[in-house]
Amino acid sequence: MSILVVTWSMFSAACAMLALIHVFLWSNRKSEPVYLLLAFMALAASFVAIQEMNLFSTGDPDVAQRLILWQNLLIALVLIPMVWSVRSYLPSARTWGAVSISVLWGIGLLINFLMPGNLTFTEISAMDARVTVWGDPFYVPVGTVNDWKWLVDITVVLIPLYIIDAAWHDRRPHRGRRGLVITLGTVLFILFAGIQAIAVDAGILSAPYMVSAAFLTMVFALTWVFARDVVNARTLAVELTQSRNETEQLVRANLLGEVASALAHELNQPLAAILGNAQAARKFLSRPEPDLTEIEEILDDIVRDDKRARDIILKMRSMLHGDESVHEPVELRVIVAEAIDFLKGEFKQNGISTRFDVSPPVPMVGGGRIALQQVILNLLINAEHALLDSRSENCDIQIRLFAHHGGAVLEVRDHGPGIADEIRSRLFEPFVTTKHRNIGMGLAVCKRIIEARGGQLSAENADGGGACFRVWLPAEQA
Amino acid sequence: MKQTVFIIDDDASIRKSLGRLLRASDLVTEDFPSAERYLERAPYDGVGCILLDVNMPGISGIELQTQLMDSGRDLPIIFLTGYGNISMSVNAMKRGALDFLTKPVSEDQLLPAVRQALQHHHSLRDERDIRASIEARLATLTHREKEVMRELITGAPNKIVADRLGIAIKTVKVHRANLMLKMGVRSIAELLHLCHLVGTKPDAPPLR
Repeated sequence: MSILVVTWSMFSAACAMLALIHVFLWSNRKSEPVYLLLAFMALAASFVAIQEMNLFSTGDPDVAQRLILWQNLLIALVLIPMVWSVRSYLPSARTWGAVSISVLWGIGLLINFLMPGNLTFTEISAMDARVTVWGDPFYVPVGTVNDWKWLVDITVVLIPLYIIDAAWHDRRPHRGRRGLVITLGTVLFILFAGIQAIAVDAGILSAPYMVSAAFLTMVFALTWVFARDVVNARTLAVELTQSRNETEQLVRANLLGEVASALAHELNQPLAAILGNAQAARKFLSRPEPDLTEIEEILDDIVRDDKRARDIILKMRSMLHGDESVHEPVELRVIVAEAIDFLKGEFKQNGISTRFDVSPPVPMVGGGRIALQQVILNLLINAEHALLDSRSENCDIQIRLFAHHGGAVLEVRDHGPGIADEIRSRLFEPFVTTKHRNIGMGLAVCKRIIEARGGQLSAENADGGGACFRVWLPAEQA
Repeated sequence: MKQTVFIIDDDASIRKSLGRLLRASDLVTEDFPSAERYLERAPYDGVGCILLDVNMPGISGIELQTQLMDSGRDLPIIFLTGYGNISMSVNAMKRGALDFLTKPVSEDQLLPAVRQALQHHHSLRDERDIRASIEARLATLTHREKEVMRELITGAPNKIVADRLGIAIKTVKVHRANLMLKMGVRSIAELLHLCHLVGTKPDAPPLR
């Protein structure tokens, strides 16, 4: 077997392999048809190599004529997808460039199939038998060159111009050298293959057509840049998830701080009562004639206050340690009541009152109790901070729960200063805050939690002052 | 003398437990679930103090302090709070709170504070009583006697007083004897002390 045959078979196999890679990439990201285009192009290039191999192996002019006829179609099927995939990769590529190259090849193909012979030769008179430097025999067709062949020869110049132009306008520091890779991979080899083919056609060069070698390099260059993008995107996605988790953790820690402070406040009451009672009991006992009935009462009270403390801790535990993987439908009324109850000590401390109105029936909503609890606590604490910061007269937080639009709406309204115009449009973006003590992630996370359940979180300034946050969650059957 | 500690806290178990602790220390207590309920009570005349929770629904501890001060009630106040907040306690102390304790409060903080408050109120009451008796005695003086007294406490001798008021030395002597008798003092020094306690000032600048 000659080296030529082995080499061209390898070209073909390599192109087919790259085609498979693109099919695989496409199957993973169906939203990006460019991978399908690239697979198609690589496959066509693989056939180009086979055709070329057949061409230099045949001594029959008629067979060669037919081979070149189909070869031209295959070349078009490589070049047109190539031009358009470059266009999708480098947005700076000019559309009219891609269109004109495609049109030129389209007309070329019409001539190819409609005129006698093909686009390359109107007539092949003979197959010139030759040998390579190292002694492999091959055939080169000799005949009358088609007058219209210049139509596609132009593209040998147009394509490099088109790509160099796109790469030039794409060069920006953070983009790296992707333009350069495409340019080198495609332009040099198109020029090489184009000029070599023209030289062979014109009888200047005595060598087999080497279009497929050029195509392999081209397909390889494009695979290189696109595959690297896929890898980068994957890395970015992993990093994004990671930082998202970290942020959520941070927000949760922030919220936990608030919750812990509320808890401490609530636990303080029974603890204070227990301490007083115990010390009183000791004093009563040290009297010459202790009143045992009194001491019995004291012990009863100590037990009662201890149970009260235990209930507070249990409540906190059930609030923060649920099984998040179970997304059972939940009743918002219960969660809201829990959250309000939880913060009541803190609210009392700051002189804030709450009003919770429910207009039944309110449907159950999609779960993740703790995540929803987090949203509600966040909204309540935000309202509290708004009231404290503004030293508002009306220290009332109104909470409303009602059915709406096939779901449940929860409104949290304060009478604070409302939402400032300058941050209104960016309210739910990360790191937007008016509070010094806050990193400004609370609402961003809330919005994500709500939207992950198919709901909506919005905010507006209420009539008569203050901000109103509205959560809508779609109903879910129990 | 009757001594009562008034406990005002919206948490029933705290009221009860504090009450017990104080009663175990032989103090009389009365408790109220809110500032409003305390204000409904008839004004208390004896010696006492108030244990006041800062955070209560309705009228808060701080607001009650202000109201009591404005209406001239002098019971000393010991504040109790869930969590100590420096600026809050500084403000309360500035307005005359006697102490600011953080719950849970233990007996070795509470009892000394209460005793100190009662002691404080006791001396306030004593002073008030003394002042009242001086005021009563002053009220018995005639206009002329008061004039003479104000001259005398500048340290002026009878002759100068007579000159300043344009009356005879003899008359001054009579007024002087009468007013010393009415005020229950034997010397000008004692008279000066009483006047100082009730804030009666001499009319003229003291003699050099």
